[in-house]
Amino acid sequence: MTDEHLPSPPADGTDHPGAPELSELSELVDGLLAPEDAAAVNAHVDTCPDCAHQLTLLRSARETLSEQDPPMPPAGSMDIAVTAALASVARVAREATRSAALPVTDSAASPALASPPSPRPRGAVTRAARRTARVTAGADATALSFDAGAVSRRAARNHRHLQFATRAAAAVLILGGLGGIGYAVAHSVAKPSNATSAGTVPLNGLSPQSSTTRPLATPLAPPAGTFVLQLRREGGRDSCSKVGHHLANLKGTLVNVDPPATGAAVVALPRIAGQPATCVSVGLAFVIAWSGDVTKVTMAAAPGTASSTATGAGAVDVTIRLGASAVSDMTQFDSAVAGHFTVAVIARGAELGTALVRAGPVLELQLSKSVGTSVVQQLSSPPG
Amino acid sequence: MDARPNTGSAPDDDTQAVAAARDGDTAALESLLRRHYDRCYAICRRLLGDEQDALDATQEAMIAIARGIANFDGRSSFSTWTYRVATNAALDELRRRRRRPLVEAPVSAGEGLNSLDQLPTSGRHDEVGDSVTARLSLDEALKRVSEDQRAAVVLRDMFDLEYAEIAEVLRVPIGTVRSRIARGRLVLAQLLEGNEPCPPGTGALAEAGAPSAPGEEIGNRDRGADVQSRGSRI
Repeated sequence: MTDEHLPSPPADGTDHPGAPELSELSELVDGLLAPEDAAAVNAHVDTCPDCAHQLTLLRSARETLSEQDPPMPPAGSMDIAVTAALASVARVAREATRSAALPVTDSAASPALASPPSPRPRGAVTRAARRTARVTAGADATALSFDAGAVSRRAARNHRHLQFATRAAAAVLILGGLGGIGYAVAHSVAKPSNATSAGTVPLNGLSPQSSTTRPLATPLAPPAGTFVLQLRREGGRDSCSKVGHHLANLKGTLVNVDPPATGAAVVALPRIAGQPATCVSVGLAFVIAWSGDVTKVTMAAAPGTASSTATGAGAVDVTIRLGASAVSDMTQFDSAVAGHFTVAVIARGAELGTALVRAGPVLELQLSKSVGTSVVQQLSSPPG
Repeated sequence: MDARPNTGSAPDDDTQAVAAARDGDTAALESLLRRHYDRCYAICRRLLGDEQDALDATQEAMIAIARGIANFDGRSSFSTWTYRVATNAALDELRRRRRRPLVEAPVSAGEGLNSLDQLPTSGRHDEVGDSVTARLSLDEALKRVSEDQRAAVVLRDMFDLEYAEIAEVLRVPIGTVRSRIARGRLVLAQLLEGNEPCPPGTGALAEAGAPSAPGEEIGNRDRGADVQSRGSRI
């Protein structure tokens, strides 16, 4: 089509008397005009090449779109999304239960709770969190709100601290739980989940005293079974996202767990032939969707640069910040480059632990925790 | 070819399941989520033009549905409500994507086309034998239609929603829906034919905003026109 065929009638229609509105032509395509209106529009179109061409364009767009097959989601994606959604509901219910069951403690009794979480400016609230909050306002309000009139201002403050602690511990649970559950799998130990026990946070083998990250051990023989490690990326149409397409929703194999000592789990991600694992690190944002919990981890783009972080399912905000000795060029974080990179896991301003990522034949992510001990202990204590 | 995604269920089926889910029946909730997953994904995929973004948005939509079903008041059909949630999730994802810094990277073979220049000059479905090529062209063309218009057009032409339903999903007056559908179709058709939509001041699209650079959306500034939704004459 040449330019002279482009629709070019004036917007005011002054030199195009009797012309129908564009929306009328569009409705004619849809068959929505009343018979008399349709007849009038058709009569005009029959004598007006411009309008006839407009009508052709509108009709062709309609036909092109309507003849498209609906895009189908990748296999397995529904399971992940539904699991995450159901887990989200369960988490809200758990938080509600905990909020109701846990005693409000004096902040002085718990050093970890004595300090409020790092202030988060309003602007720092993630869009995902806002979205979740907007859509689920009722449920969240039920789960997280409290009767301010029934408690003192001090208790209210403590309650807020407790909420932070709950969320922080949830992050630990999510990260560390990977190792714990993997441990159970590896050792064929059927351990009932106590995640729903009011006031109790399952430690899943986490060692609250452990605060160091050690190099990855030689991988053990993979235990039976697989789990889903869902990788999600941030970054739009960049290299990360392009590569990330191929890395998303992989089924990883648990190759090494040592939760009693470190609460660590090592995940081996199968590489896609011809695809570097760069995306796993550049703009790193991955969701570990396993055993129902979801969190998202975002890696900063440069050392010491905290990245914005969004969470899935309104989970705990977790940011991975590169350590001082880590690479600054994230493109080095390719699986072709062997090496270990240590990052700190920051959640709501508090360092929860460290993660050690080793790039090699397979990309391995070790999440070990050096968590705020008192937080875990506080929440793991039975309600008094 | 049936272009409609499997909407999955009759309203009555949803009504019972929704009631059960609201009462805490997890199985009913899961059933609802699975029943509507494909369609939510299809909406997100068409609005976002990117599989991974669509998966992200769909998952957010599933979470939102699961957590918000307790507040679903039944004034609209459950299907319409899920359309709204999915559309919002997709639009949120679009906004989030705009804020991300872009990283230059090599484009591997088979990746999506990046600009209008790369669109097939004759991208009409009936002229392109390669369906993959046609699909890519449509995705890229849709991306260049403004979000507002794209949502309206996709909901109408790919999911067969009535104008009133679209107005409910998008929470805009029905006249705005008419305007967005008309403009969106026109822009899309021109793009699919390999033409830039007409420049400002030369036609009905003038109100839809200045022409964009390749890769940019067209017609994002149509809100003023939306208000006078039937005021554009050709």
